[in-house]
Amino acid sequence: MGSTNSTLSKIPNVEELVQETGFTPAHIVRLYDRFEALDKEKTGHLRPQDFGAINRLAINPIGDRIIGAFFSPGQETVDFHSFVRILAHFRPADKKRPKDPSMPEPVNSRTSKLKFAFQLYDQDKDGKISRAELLQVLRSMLEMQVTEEQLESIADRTIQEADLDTDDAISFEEFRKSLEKVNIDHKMSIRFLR
Amino acid sequence: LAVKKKKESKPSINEEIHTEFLDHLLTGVEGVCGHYGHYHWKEKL
Repeated sequence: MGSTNSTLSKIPNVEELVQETGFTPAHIVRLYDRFEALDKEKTGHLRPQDFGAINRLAINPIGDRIIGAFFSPGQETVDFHSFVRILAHFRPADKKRPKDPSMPEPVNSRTSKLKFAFQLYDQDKDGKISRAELLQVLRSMLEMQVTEEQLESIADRTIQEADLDTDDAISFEEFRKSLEKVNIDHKMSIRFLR
Repeated sequence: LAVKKKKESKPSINEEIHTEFLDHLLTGVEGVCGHYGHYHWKEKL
């Protein structure tokens, strides 16, 4: 806890993090307090089990995928900077800030948010949501409500509807297209991070 | 006319599924942030 300034002085390279993520120093302090609370062993890193201890993730049908998104391939821990960079996807879009074409695409843009969601489906990272990958998600979300047969029929209909090049899978472009009418900034932003 | 209007506003299967997926995603990320926001209450209802 403590004042904003004393916490800030504990965090290395805050300016870089502010630049990169668009978070205010006050947001970063809040996230740092949260990170420290999750880091029960006080190692400066979080492990998957630290995330697993969060009740709402433990009962979440896609909790494992969400936890997995915080870890780079082959990594078993996540440090504070990576933690903040992942959460920056969920920052609401800046309406006032003009687009600067010389800057890289911000991490909270519509495309970047959609990519984040897409990668949670595409577990083998081949750039496509296969029928099997879609079925896995449907199974975890709808498990109790429908039969396996119904799941397969939903998966087939979903792919048919989105699959423009008929390769029996959903590419990122097809995914983006199928969500054209959805307000992604609204659906994928956490308002308290504004 | 009414029929046409209804057809236009009906979400596609992809919209329905991915929207549900995003709801779970946001609930989970709110959990990571330790924030009890919109999605938390939505799940409780």
